[in-house]
Amino acid sequence: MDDHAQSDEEVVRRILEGNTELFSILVERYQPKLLRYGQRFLATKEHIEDVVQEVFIKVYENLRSFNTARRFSPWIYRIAHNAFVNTLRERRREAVPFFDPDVLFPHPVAPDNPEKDASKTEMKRVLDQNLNELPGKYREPLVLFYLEELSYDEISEILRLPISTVGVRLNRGRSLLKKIFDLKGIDL
Amino acid sequence: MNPTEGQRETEKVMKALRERHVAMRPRWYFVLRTVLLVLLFVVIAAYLLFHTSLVYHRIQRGGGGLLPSFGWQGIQKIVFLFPWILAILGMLLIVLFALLMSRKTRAFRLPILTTVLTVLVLITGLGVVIAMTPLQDAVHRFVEKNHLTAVDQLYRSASDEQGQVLIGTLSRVQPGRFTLTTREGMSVEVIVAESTKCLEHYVPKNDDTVLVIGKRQGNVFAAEGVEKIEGLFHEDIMEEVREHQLGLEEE
Repeated sequence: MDDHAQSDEEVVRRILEGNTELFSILVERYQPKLLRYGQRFLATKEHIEDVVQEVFIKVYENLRSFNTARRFSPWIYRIAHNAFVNTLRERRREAVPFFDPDVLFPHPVAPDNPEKDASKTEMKRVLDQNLNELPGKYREPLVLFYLEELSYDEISEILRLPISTVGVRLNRGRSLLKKIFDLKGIDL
Repeated sequence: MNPTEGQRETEKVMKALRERHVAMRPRWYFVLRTVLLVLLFVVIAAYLLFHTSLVYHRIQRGGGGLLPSFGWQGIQKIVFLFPWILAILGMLLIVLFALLMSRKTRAFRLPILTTVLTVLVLITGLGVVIAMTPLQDAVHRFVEKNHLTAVDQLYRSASDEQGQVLIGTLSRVQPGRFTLTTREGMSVEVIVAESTKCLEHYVPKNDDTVLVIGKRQGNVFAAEGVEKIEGLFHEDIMEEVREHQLGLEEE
C-alpha cells in the first residue's frame, strides 16, 4: 500500500515501529492546515511558520504518548492550539482569559446538526472573509468546525471544553457573524 | 500552497528536526508522568479526606450532634463554635482539587460546576465516614501523647477554649452545683440555677456523662442547659477521662 494512502494513525504506528522518515507524510498533510489555523491567532506569516515548526517538533518529541486507537487530527490540533495560545499570551496581542465562565454550567445544546450541512459551504465562504471581526473564543470553534471540518467531539478535545460549551460558542459565533453582516448590509 | 512550495516547507521542518537532533521521548517518560500525576491526585485526595474527617470530628467532639436539643440556644452555640476556618479552608482546597482534575483529566468534558459538586459531595461523604472510624481519635491520642502542640490545637474542641460548652463526667454533685471533669482532665465547678434547662427532666448524679452549655464566670461555669450523654459517645468520654486520670497518677 502506498504510504501516502495510509491513514494518519497507521502512519504514526509505522513511525513508532522505526520508519521515522514517514513523519514527512504527516508534515505534508498538516502543515497547510496548521498554517491556515494559525492565521486566526497571529498576523505575520513568518511568526505563524515558526510556531507551526515548533508544533511539529513537539509532535515528534511526544509521538510515543499518542494512542493510535484514537484519532490523530484532534491530538495535533490540540498541540497547535496550546502553542498558538502560549505565543499570544507571550506577545500580549490578545487577552486570553485563564478562567472561562462558559464552562462553569451545563448548557442544554443539541450536538452536531447534519441537516444544516447545506449552509455549511456558504458559511465557510463568509467566515474566511470576516473571521477577524469576531472575538477569539468564538473564532476558534467556528474555524475548527467550518474550515477544518472537525466534529463537536473533536473540537471539545482540542479546546478542552465540554461539548455543550462548544455548541454554545458555535451558536453565539454564528449570531455575532449575522449581526456583523446585518450592520454591513450583507445578506447571509 | 502549491506542491513545490509545500515540499519546500516540509523539507524545512524535517531539516529542523535533524539539525536540532530532536528525539522522540521514550514510552517510560509518559508512563512515569501519568504515574506521578495519579500519585499526586491520590495524595491530595487522601489529605482532603483527612481534613474533612477532622472538621467532622471537631464538630462531634464539641457536642455538635447534641446541641440542637437545646433549640435556638444550642444552634447559636453551634454557629459560634463551628470550626469555620478549617471548614472554609477545606472547601477551598476541594474546589481547587476539582479544578485541577478538570484541567488534567477527561473531566474537562463536564461543566466545571458538575465536577466541583461531585468532588465536594464525594469528599465530604467519605470524610464523614472516616470520622466515624477510630482513626481521628487515634491520631488525637498520638498527638497528645507526643506533645505535638501545634497539631494538638487543630484537635482541641473550640468549646474548651471559648468556655461555652463543656463535656465530661460528674463528681461531687450537690444541690445547685457539681464538679465536671473534662476529657482533657480539667475540673470545672458548674453552678446550676433555677433557670438552667435540664433536658428530659434530668437530675445530675455522680459518674454521669453530660454536656453543659453556659458561660464561664471567673472560676465557675454558669450552666444554661444540661443534657445527659449516653451510648457510644458516653463510653468514649469515660475512657478518655480515665486515661487522663491514669496519666496523672503515673506522673
